[in-house]
Amino acid sequence: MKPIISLILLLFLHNLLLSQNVTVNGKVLDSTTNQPIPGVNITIKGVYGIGTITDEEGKFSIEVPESSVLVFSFIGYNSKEVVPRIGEFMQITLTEELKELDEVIIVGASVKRSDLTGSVSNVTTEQLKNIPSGNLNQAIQGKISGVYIENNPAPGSKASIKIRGSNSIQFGTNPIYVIDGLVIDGGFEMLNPEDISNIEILKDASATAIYGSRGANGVVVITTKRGKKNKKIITVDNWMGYQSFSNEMPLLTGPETFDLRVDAYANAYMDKNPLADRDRYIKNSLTNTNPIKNLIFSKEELESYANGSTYNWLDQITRTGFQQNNAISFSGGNDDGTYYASFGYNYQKGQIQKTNYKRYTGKINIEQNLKEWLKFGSNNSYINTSEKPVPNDNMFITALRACPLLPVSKDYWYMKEGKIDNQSSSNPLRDLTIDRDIFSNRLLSSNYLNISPIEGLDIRSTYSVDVQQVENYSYYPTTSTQSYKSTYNGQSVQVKSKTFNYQWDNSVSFRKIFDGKHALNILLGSNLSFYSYNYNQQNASGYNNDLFSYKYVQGATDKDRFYLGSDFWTYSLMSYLLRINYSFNSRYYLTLTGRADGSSKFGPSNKWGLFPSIAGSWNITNEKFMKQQKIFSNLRLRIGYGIAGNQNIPNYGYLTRYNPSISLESNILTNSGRYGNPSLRWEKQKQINGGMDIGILNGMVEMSLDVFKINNEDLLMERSTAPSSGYLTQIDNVGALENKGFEFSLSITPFHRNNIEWNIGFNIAAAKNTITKLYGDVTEIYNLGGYTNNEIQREGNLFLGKPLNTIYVYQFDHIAQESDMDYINSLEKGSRIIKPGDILPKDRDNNGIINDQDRYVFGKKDPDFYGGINTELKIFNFGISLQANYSKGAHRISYLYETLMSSIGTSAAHRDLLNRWTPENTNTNIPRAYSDGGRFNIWDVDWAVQDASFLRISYLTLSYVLPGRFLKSLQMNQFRVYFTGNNLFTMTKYKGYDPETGDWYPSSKMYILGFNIVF
Amino acid sequence: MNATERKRKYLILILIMFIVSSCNKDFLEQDPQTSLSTDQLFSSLDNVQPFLNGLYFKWRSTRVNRKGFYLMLGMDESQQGEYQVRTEAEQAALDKYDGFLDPNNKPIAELWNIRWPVVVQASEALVRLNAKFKNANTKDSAEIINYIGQAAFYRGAVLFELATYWGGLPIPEVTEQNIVLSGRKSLPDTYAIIEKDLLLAVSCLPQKQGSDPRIPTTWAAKALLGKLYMSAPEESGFRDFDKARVQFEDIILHGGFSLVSNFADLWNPYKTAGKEAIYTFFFNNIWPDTNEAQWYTGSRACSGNPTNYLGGYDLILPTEFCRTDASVGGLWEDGDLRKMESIRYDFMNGDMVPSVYAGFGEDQLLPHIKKYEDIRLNGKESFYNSGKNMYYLRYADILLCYAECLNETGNTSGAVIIINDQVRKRAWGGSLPEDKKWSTGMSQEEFRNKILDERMRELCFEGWRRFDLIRTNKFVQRIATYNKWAKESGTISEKHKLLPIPYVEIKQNPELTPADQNPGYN
Repeated sequence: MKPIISLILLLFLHNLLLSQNVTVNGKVLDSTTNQPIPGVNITIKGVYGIGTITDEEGKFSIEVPESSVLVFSFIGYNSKEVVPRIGEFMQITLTEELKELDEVIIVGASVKRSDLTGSVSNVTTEQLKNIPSGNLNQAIQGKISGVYIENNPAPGSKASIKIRGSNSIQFGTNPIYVIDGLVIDGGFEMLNPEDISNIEILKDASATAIYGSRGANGVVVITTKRGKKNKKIITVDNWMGYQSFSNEMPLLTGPETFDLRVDAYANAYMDKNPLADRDRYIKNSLTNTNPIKNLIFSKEELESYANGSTYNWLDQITRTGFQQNNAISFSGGNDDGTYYASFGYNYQKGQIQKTNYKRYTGKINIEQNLKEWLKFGSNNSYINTSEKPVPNDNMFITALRACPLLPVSKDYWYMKEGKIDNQSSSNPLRDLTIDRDIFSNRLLSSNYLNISPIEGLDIRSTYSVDVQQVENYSYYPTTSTQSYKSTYNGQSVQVKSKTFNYQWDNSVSFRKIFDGKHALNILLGSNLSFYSYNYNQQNASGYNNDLFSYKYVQGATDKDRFYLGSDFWTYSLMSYLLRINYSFNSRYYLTLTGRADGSSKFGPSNKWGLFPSIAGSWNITNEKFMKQQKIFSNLRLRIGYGIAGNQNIPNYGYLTRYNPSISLESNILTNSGRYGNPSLRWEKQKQINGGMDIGILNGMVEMSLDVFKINNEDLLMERSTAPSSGYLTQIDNVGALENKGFEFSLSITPFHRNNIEWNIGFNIAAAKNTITKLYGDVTEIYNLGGYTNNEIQREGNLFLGKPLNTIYVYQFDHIAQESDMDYINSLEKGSRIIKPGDILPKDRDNNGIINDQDRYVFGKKDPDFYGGINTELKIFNFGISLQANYSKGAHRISYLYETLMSSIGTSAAHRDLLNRWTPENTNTNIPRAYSDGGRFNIWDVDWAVQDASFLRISYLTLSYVLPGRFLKSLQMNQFRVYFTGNNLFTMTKYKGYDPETGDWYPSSKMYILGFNIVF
Repeated sequence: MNATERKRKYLILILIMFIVSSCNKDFLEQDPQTSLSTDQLFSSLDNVQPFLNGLYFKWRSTRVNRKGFYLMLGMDESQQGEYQVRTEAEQAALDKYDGFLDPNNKPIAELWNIRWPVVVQASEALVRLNAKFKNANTKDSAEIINYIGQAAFYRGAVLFELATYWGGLPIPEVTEQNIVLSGRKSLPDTYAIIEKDLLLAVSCLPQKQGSDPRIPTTWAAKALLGKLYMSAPEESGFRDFDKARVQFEDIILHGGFSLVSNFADLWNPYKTAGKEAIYTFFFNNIWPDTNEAQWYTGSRACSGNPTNYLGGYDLILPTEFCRTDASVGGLWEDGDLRKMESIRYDFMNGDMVPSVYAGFGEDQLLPHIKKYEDIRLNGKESFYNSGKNMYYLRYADILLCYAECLNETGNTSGAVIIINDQVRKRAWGGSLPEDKKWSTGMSQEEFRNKILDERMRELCFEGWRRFDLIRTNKFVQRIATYNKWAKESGTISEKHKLLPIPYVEIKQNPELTPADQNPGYN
């Protein structure tokens, strides 16, 4: 940080101290049309009283102190700062300000961005242009403070996004997405990124109050592009990239794996037969080259060992990935209205064979003035995707784990671990014979009518629909392990679902300025939202051949084992909203919001909740006493308090319900074990937020700081009830969660000459949550699962006074040594065995028993802080930009590392095992090899929990913009070509594949080439 | 005001009306379209039999998969496989009776959890059916009486299991509106509720088996009532062998039951149990009516090919005593046909040759339980789909119980005659050799000792062993002697006759405190 600060100071001084006057001449042009702009205001940054305007031909001449910064501003255009170059005729281009940038469409109404008091951040297309990505979530990662995004590396898959940490225990931590006024719960990543004009993230209760009923986890407001008056534009965006895995696990070679296995089995044998001759046992039974006499190696493995071979199964199922994105758009308009139409294609060829993703998007936005007082608009997106997902989610790990001594072959049904078939892992080469297809169609349409009968009064009615149909098909051929194991003889699974949602919003807003000082804006609105979903499923088996995949169900013979399923559900929401914005003299701002929300998910007497909020801000720069100073160009304080709600629970939780099913050829009516709770009510999020925005020297430095505290109450969760009540669970309002944190963002333009510009952005955010109450006097709720479905899991447990996402394990003490054996023998440890070289967990309660009571909360999965760093440097027509993301303090369980570290040489093993405990190598934390069960495994103790902190260079883009003189001859308005490296480098201690995206599918790096043309 | 202005005002009005009208109350009523609420369910009598069959399904599911065998672990006749004991401390505690057999034991919590839904939902049915009965016409009344009998039978039977395993129970008060949790009732109160349910079932259930064999008969209720009188703990005040004898005698004289002549037929999925079955948990090979029993009783050494019907994962195996001959200190006498029908000794199955999986226990090819093998699957379907019927009450059991009651009420010779002429006679194929006949002159105490082995030979792995050992007070002694893991651990004691009340119940039931725990588990 220090060098940056000194640099800034230096620039300040530079600006303020030097003052020798020079004359600057030039011309101002429109960036897209290259036409001169008359009447542009030209001022000197930080100096009052000096200035000029451009003439009819857009020309200007001004005398200024040397090294001052000129500010060019004109209504309807983005203002621009330029450092003049002495003695040169300057050519300045201004880009037109997109009108919609100042307007945000909220549910049922359009409001000015400046009216959104509270904590709001935004990302514009300009910021997205250096991030070529088919997935919007990925594109905005690291750009906004307080927004935590974890990507998912598989083609077409979703990222998870959390705004201001976790604010709900169980039901919903995802924000809602609002696209041109239509609220959708998910699928935001399906949009064509090129269609996005602006993304607004509403973080605090005042900002989200407009969405009250569902704003508790933040709101992402997306505004898509509109056409512009009198400007016909065609844009073409294309990019393509090659993808390869960004990480490779360090594995033992075939011969090393051989040694590990011998060691593991010899150790287990010696434990049982302490008096036996180890070397003799190894020679006769473990390394014997006669496959019949050898107990642990198969014939093939002994051959591999003799040849020194190492087989790589992973190579057989993976390949180089490829992605491409093509988009074209047309826009224009006249005084009567505007249009924007686009078509997009995204294709991703996955790195696992057979996987891919294709997306076609089409969009039409129109806006038309029917009468002087009547306007209508329609925003429509159509999205078609087809996806071939990974045939079997485990296949990647299975292939990776395959023993390097095992020759690659399709012959085995199960993966072989030595002489044993591992019945829980299918042969990944056979998995490749599975067919899977997911097809979806989605239409998002939002249509409004706006009446302005008198000045300042707007009446708006919006009707929106979101329709989606998904077809999900799988076929497990007779050659697949799945079919063999369950004796299906070929099984098809077809699931078809339909979602239909509509939303009707009506609003009346009134805007008036009294006495030139008091600005008042009142909004009254109502909303109806209706959601419906249905699906049907059929599984058929007994094909006996694999002729037609899942496509011809008539060929299935095993009628007894057909499965049919379907369901239909609906839910609805209704709201009233009153919002008053008042501002005095552009200095003091006040926003009051009151809303009532009803949800069908609650019982008859608790459907409604009230969600008020209040927020104020003070624009200090507009105060008289600030007029004289030249340092702060913006200084604003904000404070707000409000309540948001959450109703994101399963449907019909207020009822005890019985479903029919078939048993023994007749109908039975059974209940799933959930007891209805008629007193369910809204989960409430009470949030207080304070913030400050600072701009220094006309935006050379901009900072924004927010601190917040959220008290989440009446948290909804499905809790277990006393078993003697006859029902095992109930959805209930339980407990409370406190969440505190801050967000800080900084952007600096340390260098800004006419043709050279350098920007730096940095943001950091932290959120820390604590469970402050669970129901009754319960102090912990365990997440049970595992082998018996009754073991306490490491993740998903809730502890009073601890954060939400914890990891609960034994404490690693040390590796047991011979000298510990007296102590170990005195311990009661159930059926566990601890011998020298094994893990000795700490008996934390010191009672001589090692059991679940000795487990403790070790670390949490949420980071202490996280954020992004970006910088962009433009030199003449060249640009270089860099985006980095970081996260510190999160822990993660790496199943991959644990698996590889638990290897006994019958499967692939991590190279760290070379440093395992042996009687000769006792000073180590890595347990000895041991082929039997019963020890404390590495995953039982905190030793294996990984620090998932990382710093990642996610995008590095080099670009070149063709200069104006070439453009003319090419009949283009703009041509930009770029080369991007995605995910080039990650700094982390994490031992699995990727600290962010986890282990089941490794993250990849991609090299992208793209261009962008505007006609 | 000109025309345009008027038009505009008019439009404003319309839109304001929009806003108001859009908020109509019914809009927020979105009820389920694919399920019934409890009220809707009981609004029609047509739904009651499917509901009761649902209770049967839930009760039956206490016999399905791993959890169906938990209560058979740690007995003198059956014990856990070695690999399982080694890898699952809490499950292992069911055999070891060590420190892991405590209120936090999760297998035990599961056993507790899966039984209460039957009890409470049967109570909900009884409350609603009683209310309906008061206003019913004659035709409906007969139907309702039958339903009441079924609900009372299910509740009584499951409470009987719960009371035997845990003692006095926190049976909640159920009304139409809600469920009020209860503290632990005393043993006499608990058994009084069970007796009342079974008496109600006896009086409401039909004498003749109807077309749906799930619907219990009065005889099944009587059999349970008899078992209740002979098994209830002395402290409950309900232990009465004479009352039990009367129930069994009634079944023998008037129930029309008899033993199938060939013991093997009982375990042949292609045959029926004929007149021997009094009450049965029916299964088949199609989910959700499979029981996965072979998955847990079969041998891992045979699991390589999923269609080998001997395959499985060694959860539960016979104890050494139970699998060996009397000549070497074990259970089986020469010529007893029941041995080879109950226990699997030979694992060769055509070309499906067993192969031991290293590291998964040394007992993969030791004798396994055979009673659940389902040959219908062999070579065709995965053994996971095994689904042979499981007997709950069969006539041989009633005869043995009856004999025990005769012995306890002073008629030892009468008891021996029943054993010789019926149970053992069939076991030796219809003619019992002289040297295998029990002497009618034996003492009451000698009979007591011998009957436990006889019950094992006849009824091993059918789920009654825990009842038998607790009833006869031989729980600790026999398990410590014959169960490999209990013997090794050496920690079994009298307190283990009752299981600990799960921690979840104590924590979540406001009427319970840790002091309500069974003795020795705090």
